[in-house]
Amino acid sequence: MKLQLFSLLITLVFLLFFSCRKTEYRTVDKPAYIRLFNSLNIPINVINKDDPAPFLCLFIDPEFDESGYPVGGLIVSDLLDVRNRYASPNPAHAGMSNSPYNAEFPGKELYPTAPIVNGYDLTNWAQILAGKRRFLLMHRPRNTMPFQQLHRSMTSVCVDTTLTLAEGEVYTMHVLYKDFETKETMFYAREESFHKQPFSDDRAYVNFYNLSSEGFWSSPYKGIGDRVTSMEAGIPDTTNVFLSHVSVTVNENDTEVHEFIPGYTKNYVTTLVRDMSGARVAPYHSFPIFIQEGEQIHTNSWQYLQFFSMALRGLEQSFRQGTANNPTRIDIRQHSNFYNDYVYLELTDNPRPESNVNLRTPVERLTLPNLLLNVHSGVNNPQTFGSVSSIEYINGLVYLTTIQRTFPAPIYE
Amino acid sequence: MKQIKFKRWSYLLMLAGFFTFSACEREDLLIENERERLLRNAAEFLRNNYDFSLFNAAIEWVGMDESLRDNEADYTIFAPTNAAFNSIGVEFPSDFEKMDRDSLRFMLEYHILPSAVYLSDIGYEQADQLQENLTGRQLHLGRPAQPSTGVGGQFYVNGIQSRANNNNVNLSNGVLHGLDQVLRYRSGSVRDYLEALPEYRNFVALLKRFDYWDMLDEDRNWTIYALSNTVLENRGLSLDAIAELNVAEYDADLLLSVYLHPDQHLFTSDWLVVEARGGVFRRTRYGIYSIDMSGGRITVRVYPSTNTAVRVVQVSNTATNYQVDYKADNGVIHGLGGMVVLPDEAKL
Repeated sequence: MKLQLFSLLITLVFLLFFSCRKTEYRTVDKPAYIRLFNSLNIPINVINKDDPAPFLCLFIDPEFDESGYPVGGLIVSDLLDVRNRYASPNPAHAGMSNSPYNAEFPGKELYPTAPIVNGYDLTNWAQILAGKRRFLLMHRPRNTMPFQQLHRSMTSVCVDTTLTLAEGEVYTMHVLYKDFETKETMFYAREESFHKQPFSDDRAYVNFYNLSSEGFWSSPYKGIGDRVTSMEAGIPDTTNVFLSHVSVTVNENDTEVHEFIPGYTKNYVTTLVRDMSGARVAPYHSFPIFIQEGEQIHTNSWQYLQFFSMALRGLEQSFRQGTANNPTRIDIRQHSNFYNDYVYLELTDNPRPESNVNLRTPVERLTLPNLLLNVHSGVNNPQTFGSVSSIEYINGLVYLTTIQRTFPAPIYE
Repeated sequence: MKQIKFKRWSYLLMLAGFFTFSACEREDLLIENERERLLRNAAEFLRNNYDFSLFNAAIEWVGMDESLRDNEADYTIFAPTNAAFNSIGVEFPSDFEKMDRDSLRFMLEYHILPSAVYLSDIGYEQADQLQENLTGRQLHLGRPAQPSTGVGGQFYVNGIQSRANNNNVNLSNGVLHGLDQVLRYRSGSVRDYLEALPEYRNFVALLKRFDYWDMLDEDRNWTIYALSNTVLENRGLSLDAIAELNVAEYDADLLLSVYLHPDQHLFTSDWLVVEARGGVFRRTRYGIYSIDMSGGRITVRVYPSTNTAVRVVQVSNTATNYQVDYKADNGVIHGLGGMVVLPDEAKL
């Protein structure tokens, strides 16, 4: 009997110590949170065809072989493509994209992402050991060959820099062209502050950055090729930003009516100055959620942004206002006097069909998703939430990065 | 009896425990070594391929086949097809024997890289991916954007196409890519190359007559659209006529600057590789010059700035394969089928 018990015990001990361990959680001690965009967005054209492809491989704390070629590191993230125009509040592209290329880091990488910090969902940020970190980005050809298997002469150094990251801080990083003429590249890192600010959850917040290359706006070559729309002409280094809100209602004929919301039309927001230092977070501008459907927290309203150069100072309020119920969109090519001086942007989920937009002014270049997010939450479908967003203007293109607070999960009845 | 039963049961349990333990142990699945693929070396492959028999004859004539047999080495061979050689007048293997062996060797070495560059190494939507060949010169590799389906197998070397079904041949000592044309290269500047091309003799004389020749310095890149002797003679510019031209009567810039483009080295393939909607524009005091080499044609347009009514001057010709993409150390030369600004129009 004793023997049997003993053998049973041995078996149990075996089972206890040698049974399968399936999960090894990757944890990061003392994490800082980083998100990195490849913003080398100047298209390769016949004119600048010598430039290396804006397609990168990221090494953090790289390790090198004897010949000085990067072979590994703390983090290696390959196939980093030029960023998408919209960086959504959740990593939707990770689940839905079938492209092998990654539009941001961490993006689609299977890498420990940041937790919810002060109510903000930071799953788009990667956890990385805080402290002094070296960032090396290598140019590589645009194909799916892993970096280590590439012909070495096909790669070159894009950016190599060292940063000190503080524990628990949130960083947004960019690889940018510093100079439009020489195509010199640079690393940009901004320590975010939104998670420390006392933001109200019934308002939406937005700030603006101009991260354009030195000499882009004044270059005669910027409008060549497909870059002939008003946005491609770009905005000067100093512009005044005006924000209008447009409500959407349905009239008795069942047609949508878009109207400026009184008191929230052509409001001065900020003076946007080109700044590539990353030294400060631009002040956030806020506006309320315009609830229009009684009991429900829901709105269809959208935002209309206008960038005026200093040359148009004082003319903003009278400038092509349109009628109250028809916010004018201007095909800037018909108003060449304002080329370089005026740009508008619509922040709407559903760009309206536009009669005066032709192929040379693609409407998608002048529209971005709404700053107010409509999602199914709790029993409300949809419910409108304010977001915290950054609008980054880089070399003739506008990028929107939206961060959302966590919200109650949908209840299906 | 009862005791024995219990004992058996416990042994069973022990056995089960061992199974649980050992089941977790997953060794890497090792498949018996794959049957080794018998790849041929570069020299063998060329010798046994009818489509490269002329290239092979040239390789053998200069005695390079031994080094291409070296299995320790790694090569990328850009091999022009027989049709490519035929288009420049090489019909028979014996034709190579009439050529200078050293320059032929140089030409062949220009087609071979000392390392293996596979199709998958070449990036999409990118021109000018430089690779050093055996002569130490750089070849410009370009590959169009990836199609929505498939891999997009063709690419370009110095403007010359390597077709999807004729490249990326695995060799035991590298890789072979077929080329539609022989690479046209001459060591030296664009000036040296122009002087070496007899069909542009009149064009060279014209540039010299108007003191434009020295402008083509070696410190910068040039793309030159050269006018053939026939084109110029049709406009009355024979060698004798050029020698007798009264230079002072003409606006030389208006007459000639449209053919000479500094700081560019454009291949015809660039329009297929990178985005080039609208072509290349160059602003001058006469207006805008626009160059477009898409769709197998060279089109040069001038949008004059002085005229209020826009009068677009346009010259367009089919880019016949053997008249384009002459690569020199500081630029590229393309043949152009007509004068953009006629001599009479440039008279002061």
